[in-house]
Amino acid sequence: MITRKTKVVGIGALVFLVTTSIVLFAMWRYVETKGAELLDHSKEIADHQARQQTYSDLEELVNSTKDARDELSTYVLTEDKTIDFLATVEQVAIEQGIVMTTNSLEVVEQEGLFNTLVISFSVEGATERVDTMVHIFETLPYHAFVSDILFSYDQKPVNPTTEGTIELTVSLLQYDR
Amino acid sequence: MVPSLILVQAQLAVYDGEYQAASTQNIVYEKLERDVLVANSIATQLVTSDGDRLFSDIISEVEGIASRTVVLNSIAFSRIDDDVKSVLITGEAASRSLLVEFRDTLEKNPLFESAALPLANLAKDKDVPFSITIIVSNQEQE
Repeated sequence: MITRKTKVVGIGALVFLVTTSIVLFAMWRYVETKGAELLDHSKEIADHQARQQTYSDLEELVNSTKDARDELSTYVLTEDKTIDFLATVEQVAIEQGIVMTTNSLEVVEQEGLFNTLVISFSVEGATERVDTMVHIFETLPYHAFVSDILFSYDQKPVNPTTEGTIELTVSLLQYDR
Repeated sequence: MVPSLILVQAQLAVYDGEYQAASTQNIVYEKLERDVLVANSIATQLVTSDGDRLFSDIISEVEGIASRTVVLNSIAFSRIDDDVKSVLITGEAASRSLLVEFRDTLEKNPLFESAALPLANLAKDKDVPFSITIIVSNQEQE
């Protein structure tokens, strides 16, 4: 026969056991988390110490080559410089005395840090000037090349003219990749 | 468990300052690595050849030869696999012999490998419309 007192003690012991288990489990979890954090920190510090000398050398090298790297980056186009680039090219065309309009701009996705920007221009003007414009496109201070040309000639005895399209392909640097 | 907790907490406190410094430095190092990677990619891209043959050289050469013998109507070419392989030109020659002379002059030019003139183009004797496909030479220019 179980007395009332035994029942109370039994239930009390059960509640105590459950509470203690929960507290112990919570503590165990906490110690586990802190232990993982400690491992993470000690790994980060160990990595840092291991790489410190190498990175000090690298930092010195990167800092000493900053001017060269800055100059290097001026030879490739970025999206934010595209508008200025187009304006410059169109200004050059005006200076050459030819009529040039931008037909289309297409960004072709590539792997790595670069995409390709394909620009199609319509040109019309004196044959000699249009030829000069092609040469200017081919000697732009950017990583670019003329990828397609279609010209029609009007070879009058005086002032022959050319009209047609020039497709320019420019490498476009994507810094955020 | 309590001693373990105290030990872990104490060790974490010791590492804290060092960890903050290491984390900051590691972010700097990651930026350095990124800068080097970008510079390398740009350099690699810049040295990648997209074919040495310039369209402007080919245009000048074709226009120069044509001006002596025929009238050019159009010129079309594309870069395939980073190089100029062929050029399609159309025009009109005053006579069949001038057209053949034009074709021969193109073929003798070291810039071009061949100039294909379809026989059908030679049907007329005067005011001969033509279309020639020029194969650009693979040899590098001096």
